[in-house]
Parts: sequence; C-alpha cells; structure tokens
Amino acid sequence: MTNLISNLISVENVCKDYKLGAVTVNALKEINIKISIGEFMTIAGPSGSGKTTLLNLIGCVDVPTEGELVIDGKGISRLSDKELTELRLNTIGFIFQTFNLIPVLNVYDNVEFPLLLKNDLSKNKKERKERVMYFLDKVGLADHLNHRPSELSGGQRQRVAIARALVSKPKIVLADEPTANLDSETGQNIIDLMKKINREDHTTFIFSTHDTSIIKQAQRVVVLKDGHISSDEMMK
Amino acid sequence: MFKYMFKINLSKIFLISYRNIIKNRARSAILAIAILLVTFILTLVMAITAGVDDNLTKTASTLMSGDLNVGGFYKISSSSAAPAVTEYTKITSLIMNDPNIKSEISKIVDRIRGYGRLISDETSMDMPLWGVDLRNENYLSKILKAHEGDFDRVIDKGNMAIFEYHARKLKVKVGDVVTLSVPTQRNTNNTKDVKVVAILKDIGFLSQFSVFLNSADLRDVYQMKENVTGVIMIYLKNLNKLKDVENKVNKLLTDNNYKLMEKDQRPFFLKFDKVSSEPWRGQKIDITTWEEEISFLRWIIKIFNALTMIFTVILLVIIAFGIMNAVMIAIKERTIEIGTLRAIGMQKIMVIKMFLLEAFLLSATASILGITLGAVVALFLNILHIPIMSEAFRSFLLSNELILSVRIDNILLSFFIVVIVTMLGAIYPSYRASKLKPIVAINHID
Ligand SMILES: Nc1ncnc2c1ncn2[C@@H]1O[C@H](COP(=O)(O)OP(=O)(O)OP(=O)(O)O)[C@@H](O)[C@H]1O
Ligand SMILES: [Mg+2]
Repeated sequence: MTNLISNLISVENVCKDYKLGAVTVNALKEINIKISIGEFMTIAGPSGSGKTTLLNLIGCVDVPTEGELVIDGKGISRLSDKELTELRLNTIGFIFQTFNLIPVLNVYDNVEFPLLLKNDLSKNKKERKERVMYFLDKVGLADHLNHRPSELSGGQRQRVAIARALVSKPKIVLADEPTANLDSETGQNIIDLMKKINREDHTTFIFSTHDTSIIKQAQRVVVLKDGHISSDEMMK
Repeated sequence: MFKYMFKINLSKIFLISYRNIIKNRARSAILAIAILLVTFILTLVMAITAGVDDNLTKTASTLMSGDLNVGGFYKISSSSAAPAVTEYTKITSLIMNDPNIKSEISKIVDRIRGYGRLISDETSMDMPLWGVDLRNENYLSKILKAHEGDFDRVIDKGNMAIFEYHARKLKVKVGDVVTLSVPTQRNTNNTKDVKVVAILKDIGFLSQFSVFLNSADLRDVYQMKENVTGVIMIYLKNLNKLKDVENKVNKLLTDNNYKLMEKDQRPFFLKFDKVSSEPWRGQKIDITTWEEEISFLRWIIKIFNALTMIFTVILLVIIAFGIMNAVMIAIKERTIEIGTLRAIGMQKIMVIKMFLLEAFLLSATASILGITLGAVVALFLNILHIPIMSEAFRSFLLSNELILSVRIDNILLSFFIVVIVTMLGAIYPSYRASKLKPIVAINHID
C-alpha cells in the first residue's frame, strides 16, 4: 500500500530505439523501474549503456519507442506537448552536465527564470525573490547575484544550475553526470549539496555518473548494461 | 490562448532579447543599419511623393480652382455653352447669408472663365483665359512669381500677366501690347488690346493653360454684364469640411430654385461638348470641388505613388530576408539555450514570442532612428531649395525646385510597415525555433 502511494515514477516495459540510417540502436530494452518520493538514486553503467537515454525519458524531454512512463500519476504518452512542458516546469528540475545557464542573464535572473514561467508566481515579485534567495543561499552563491555565467567557475555554475533546478520546488530533480565537468573536490561538494537538499526537503534525486566514489554515496544504485538493468540495489 | 500569452511576466524575456541584441553587437548593428537605411530612404521617397502631391494640388488649385466652385453654363441657344454664372452676386449673398456655410468660409472670390486667341506682332496662339480681380485675389502674387514686370498691376484694367511659355511663343516682352480675340455666342469675334505687365515664372505644363487678365477686360470682350462671372470660388477654413459644405451649398441653391447640373467629376473645360449637345437653355449651376477640377492631373500623383510602392516593396523584401537570415543565425547559435528553456518548462509560443520580441526591439529602434533622420534630411533639403534641372520634370511636377513634404501619416505608415515586415520575416525562423526539441539541450557535443 505505502509503496503505491509513494510511487512517483514508474517506468513500464520501456524500449527506446534510435535509427541511424539503416541501423537501429536499441538503447533501452524492456526497462521496468519504480522510484519513490525522496529517493537519492544513481544510474550507473558503462558508456553507451543507456543512462542518458533513460534520464531523458524520465525528464519528459524524449518519448519511448515502446512502453509507458507514469510521472507523478500522469501517463506521459497521453500528454500534449503543452502538458509535457507544464509537467517539466512544475514537477521536474534539470541539472545538465554542461550547466546550460542562459549566458546573457546573471545568477539571480537565471535562478528566477523558471518562476517567471509559472502563472502563479510570475506576478509575485516578493515571493520570487524570497525563493531565489533561499536557494542561492543554500548553494552558497548569495553573494554572487550579479555575476554572469561566464564570470563563474565550473563548480559555481553547476551550483547556480542546481538552484535553478530546485527553485520551482520540483518533486524530481534529474542530473545527467552533474560532476563530469568538475574536479573531484568540487564534484564532491555538489553531491554533498544534493544530499543535503534531499535530506532537508525530501526532493527525489536521480543522477547518472561514472564516478565510483559518488556511486557509493547513493541510497540506491541502478546499473545499466547494453540497455538492460543489470542490477538494482538499495545501499546500507 | 490570448489571455495565456499575457499572463506570463515578459520582463525577463525582454531582458534576454535586449541583452542578446547587445551581445551580438556586430550582427545587430549591421541589421539595424540596414533597417535604418531602408526607413530613411522610405521616409525621403514618401516625402518627395507627398511634396509633389502637395505642390501639384496647391499650384493647380490656385491656377484653376477654389476649394469649392460654384460655376456652371449659360446656354443662349441649345447648341451653345458659355462657362458663366449669371446674377452671381445673388448667389454669393445667398451663401454668405447662410450662417452655417458662412462660418466655414475663409474667402470667396470670382473669376471669369474664357477661351480665346492672343495675337502678337509676330504670331498668335489659342488658350484658356482667366479674368481675375486682384482686389480680391491679392494673394495670387505670392504664389505666381513674376520673372519680369509686376503681377500686381493686373489690378488695373487693360493689363495682363502671361507665363514665360507664352512670352517665348508670342515673342513679347513686358510693356508690349497684344490683341485679345474671343468668339462670342453670336458667332462673331470681339477684340481688345491689352498690355503685358508681367511675365510669370513657368510652373510646369499647367502654365500653358493660364493667362491672367483683368476681369473687366474679359467682361468687355464677352460683352458680359457686371453681374455675370465665370465661377465663384470658395476657400474653406478646414478642407475636411469640404463634402459637408458642398452638400449645404447644393441644398441652399436647390431650395432657392436654381437648376443644378448632374454631378460630373471632370474639370469644367472637359464639359463643353456634353453641355453644348444638351437641349436645355438658360442657366444651370455646377458645383465642383478642387479635386474634380484638377482630376486630370491625378495621373502624375498616381505614377509617383506607383514608383514609391515598387520601391518600398523592393526595400521591404530585402529587409524581410535580412531579418529572417539574422534570426536563423541567432537560432542556430542559441540552439542549446532554446532547448534548455524548453526543457525547464518554456512553452513553444513563448519561444516564438522571445524571438519576435528581439526582432521587434531591433526594428522599432532602427526604424525610429531612420525615420527621424529621413524627416530631418527632408526638411533640410526643403530649406536648400534644390532646383530641378530636368525641363521635363519641372514641367510635370509644376515646380522649379524639389519640394518635400513630411507627413505624420506617412511617418506612422512607414514605421508600421517596416516593423510589421520585420516581424513577418522573423515569424518563420521563430516558429522553427519553437519546434526545436528540448532534448537538443542535452544531446549536444562540443
Ligand atoms: N541521438 C541518438 N541517436 C542515435 N543513437 C543514439 C542517440 N543517443 C544515444 N544513442 C545511442 O544509444 C545508446 C545509449 O546512449 P546513451 O547516451 O543513453 O548512453 P550513456 O549511458 O549515457 O553513455 P555515456 O556514459 O557515454 O554518456 C548508445 O549506443 C548511443 O550510441
Ligand atoms: Mg550519457
């Protein structure tokens, strides 16, 4: 029973094929996973095993060739582009490997941006400011409000990206190799930050990584191999 | 749908658009300069066309029409037609005693319309004749500049002003006497000697159609009574009231049992054939507007409008492709950014709006600058009184110098046209941008 209620993401018999000319790559084959609220989960596996593909499907930026994903109670195959966009805005936060901040906006404006896309908050400047400052404080960048992304280090940029992903209080935060472009110490800081937010706000984190020291810190490790789940373990 | 578009706070989108324009300074500047140049040229071309229109209208209506004309024909026999208004003072006082009409009138004058022959020692020529009373039309000498002599002397009986064109043809100078010969309704010719007191500067080919005599002299040769004139010319305080005043005068004269001619939108000199073939006799009144009297000149304006139009279309096509190209490049460069925005929850329509806004900011700023520059240059060129070198152009522009007229409605028109065309040019690439999949934010390698 409790399992049903806390089920946030359900991946059901999902296949994803990529067609490259005459060749079809079966990137994901019959994947089944259930993910609950508050999990801190990593997707591991060798290069080309399908980690990014799976995260993209969960993030609703791509659609499966077969099977269904249910995100926060909604079967995504039945959603229009507009509804999928709304789902991404309200339920999912993205942290990109390459940070993907908007270059012409400063730190504050970048973090605030998702809130401006939300009908309820786009007119409420005070509430927006409180939220932005709360999360910038959390990621330790409250004193860099007016910096442009180009004026920040990689670690700082990724922290801005985390604040942006969190600011709309999504239930799910997805991160595809969030530390791949950072040195190991900075990477560890980012993981610590994600752990802290997971603990404090019960935000569900799903991230992929190659880094074994980071894999060890996850609560749950799903290992992909050639588009299959080769293991799915709860740690500790 | 529309409501949705405005629910969202646009200020940050505005900021993104603005900052991107600044960031891509070089590309924005090239495009902005192109738009600026186009609006600049457009403003100048429109000013020239408007100047031609204004000048043509002013000159033509000064030479041959009031704002509103009460003219008509008197037929002594069924086959004749004289452009005359009998007992015109009665009509004038009827008009001036109607307070609703009187309040709209700035000036009311009358002229005699004639057609006859001028005979000099060397040669002779047939032409239209105007009998004017300079005591009433004292402003004429401000518009008709004398090349030689003094136009104001036409105030005295026996004096006449002709144009350079006539002077050349007739080989006469100021002070020479020519003989005026006109056919009367009784199939005879009456003659009278008049003295050339002024040779006026030509104002294009219309000069051929006008010489100015003292109205008393024309009355003499036509044996017209004192209370007969050719046309009552009414000038209004406000030209927008023209239709209104025309209707009022029409009703006033109909109510007072004047017979009015059927509406015929041609100038009076093209009506002779028709009137002389009609069976009625006596007096009929014809109320016409300045536009009708100079309608035979509209083709000049039409040519100018057509040229302006062709020119405008060419410029706008260039601009549309320019902006389309620029937005395409911007979208290519910003693929990841667009994908990211889509991934974090920006709707397609918002992506379109973002790029349209960018195009709008650029084109609105550039066209405002271009128009301002164009207007300033047009006004400046006007002050310089640049002479028109080509005889042919002088002739059909009715002007010896370039006249530009900057009109507010033209300025607004070119602003809106340029902005709308740039937006149209930006729509397709913006639409393409909105079609970008959010996954492009992730799957890139660089
Ligand atoms: N857009 C694409 N077009 C064609 N094939 C693709 C595409 N994206 C991924 N693939 C293929 O699908 C398979 C899974 O790719 P995916 O990127 O999900 O792997 P990954 O586990 O994220 O690898 P990495 O650790 O290198 O990031 C690979 O064989 C890859 O070549
Ligand atoms: Mg990957």
